Amino acid sequence: MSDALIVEPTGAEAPTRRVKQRGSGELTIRRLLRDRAALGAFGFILLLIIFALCAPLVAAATGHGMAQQFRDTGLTSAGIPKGPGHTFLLGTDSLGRDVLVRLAYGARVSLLVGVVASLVAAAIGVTIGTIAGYFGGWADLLLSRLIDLVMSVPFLLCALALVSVRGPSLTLSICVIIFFSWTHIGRVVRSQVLSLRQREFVEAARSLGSGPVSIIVRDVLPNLTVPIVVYTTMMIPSSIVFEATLSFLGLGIVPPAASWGGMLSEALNGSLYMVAWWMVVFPGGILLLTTLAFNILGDGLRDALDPKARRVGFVWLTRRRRASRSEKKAAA
Amino acid sequence: MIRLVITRLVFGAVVLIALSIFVFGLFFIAPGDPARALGGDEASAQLLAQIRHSLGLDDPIYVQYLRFIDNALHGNLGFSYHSQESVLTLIAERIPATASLVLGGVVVWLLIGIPVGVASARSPGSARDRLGQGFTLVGLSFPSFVLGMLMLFVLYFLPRQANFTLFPAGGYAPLSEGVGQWAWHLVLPWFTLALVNAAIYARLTRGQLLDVLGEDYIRTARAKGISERRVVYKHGLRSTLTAIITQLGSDVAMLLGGAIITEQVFNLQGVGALAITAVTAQDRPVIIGVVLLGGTFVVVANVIVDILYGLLDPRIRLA
Repeated sequence: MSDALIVEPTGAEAPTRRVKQRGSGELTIRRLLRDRAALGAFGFILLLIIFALCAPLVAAATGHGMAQQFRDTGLTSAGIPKGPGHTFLLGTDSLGRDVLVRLAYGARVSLLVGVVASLVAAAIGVTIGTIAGYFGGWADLLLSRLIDLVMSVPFLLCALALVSVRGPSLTLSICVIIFFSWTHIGRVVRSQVLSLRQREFVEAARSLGSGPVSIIVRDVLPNLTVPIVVYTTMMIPSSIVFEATLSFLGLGIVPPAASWGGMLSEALNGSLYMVAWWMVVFPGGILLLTTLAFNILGDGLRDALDPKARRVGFVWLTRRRRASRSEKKAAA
Repeated sequence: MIRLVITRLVFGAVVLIALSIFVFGLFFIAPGDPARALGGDEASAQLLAQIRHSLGLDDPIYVQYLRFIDNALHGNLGFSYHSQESVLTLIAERIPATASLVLGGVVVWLLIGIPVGVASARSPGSARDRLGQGFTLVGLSFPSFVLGMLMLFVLYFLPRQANFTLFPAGGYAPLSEGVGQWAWHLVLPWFTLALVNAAIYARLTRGQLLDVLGEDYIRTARAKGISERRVVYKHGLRSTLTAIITQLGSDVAMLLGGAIITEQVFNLQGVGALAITAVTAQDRPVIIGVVLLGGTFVVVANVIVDILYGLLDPRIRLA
């Protein structure tokens, strides 16, 4: 489908312009490249990934370990953290640890949790949504009630109860996030499958003798690529914030391992950030930029993958907002 | 309509039973011995057995569970392991702070979110719309504890350094100290809670209203010569209210069960702060009580939302 087809001019009235057929993949990429906001967000995410991967290099370059405490050089004589300077580029925290190095290691945690939790939650949500939507009847009733049930649970409280029993850990954080995140995409997929299974091409596949698994995998799911990709991307920032929240409440990553939420909680402890603004500004800023970047990217992906859909989301900094204005004029 | 409410009530009961089994089972499989925690490390085996017996911990789990449910239905959620106070009393003491925070926050976020959404939807693609969209995007991405700390820093600490108290550092002033004190202590928490949620409601309102404004009956209303303002607010917004109320019901209920993060940042002694203390101290009856209370709020909110649906949408009322 993505082969370029060049319409050769024929006869005397040869058109001067050549028409090029572009595949949907190529068109998507072209649309995405025109979206400067999404491109910028993507660039930031790439940099963040490099920053996270290079965390040991950052530690080696500064000569400061992730949990290493510099009580002599990193704290003032009054025991107050030192601000950004030569030896500590982004300052130190209450124990005299290097904020920059801890940010890098925290990025690993955030990205790992965000991506892993979102992918697994999406897989669960798609599976359950597809089964409920395709088979209907009892399966649908049962699974839809299950989704309602999980959605009406006060999730932060339950997460607290669970963590208080099992003790905080990275694995538990990921599991908790997955458990409370799959429902939204599950609901979306269910309603989409519900309408797709009525369509002619599914009927055609069935009349050709395809079984339910084959129909789901070959006919239904490929039609849901767009919502699945978009919703999974959108789930990453909420998973990252969820993890940061757990760590902020002391129920996520176990210290001395670094996480952004934990760093912010240390800054709030004893209102230390009032005298050491860098303890809030850097972890808080990078957390905000990360969620912002993933949200912008998600919006950009939705617009690029599904240009026909009415853009309910953002028309921010993109060139196509002019198009949407003229669209409106035409409609009015 | 009545059938809908009854279905909801039955489902609500199922949710609460599932939730109670979940928290109860959680603590049953949990490592650690509450008797040991209460009696201390020095406690003799005899004392431990005595504590277990007095707490009923030596009974089989289903007996413990049924006894708990029986007590709960009679308005007794048990007693805190630490303060020996009734869990219900402990929670009731904390409700005013949380309720003040959440209800005030709701007003602020609706007053910001809906007008921003309406302004965006009325002229999609315009500069105003882009501004609204930018606000939504930033609001959605702002982790609330970062926002709260930022507010405290800019609006409490910086003025404080200039020897000027603009806002208090946190804490809750009960209404008995006067409405002024109460509101003054809550302004920053309200806005912290509200800005993130305002973004969600702005997006929701914009999306819903954009769909509605394309409907035929809106064109008819315009053709009748009704002012644009009336078309948007009376005819357009009304049908978006069902979506807003659905979202509002579950949001408010979840928050009433403890606006944990905001309470933590501003040192408000609400239900969420109680939950955190209980979790740190492994005070099981309190944790179970708070979780079940949160669940009850959600269930009740769902029923209220269904009734409101009927009032707002005649199609549902008559069906």
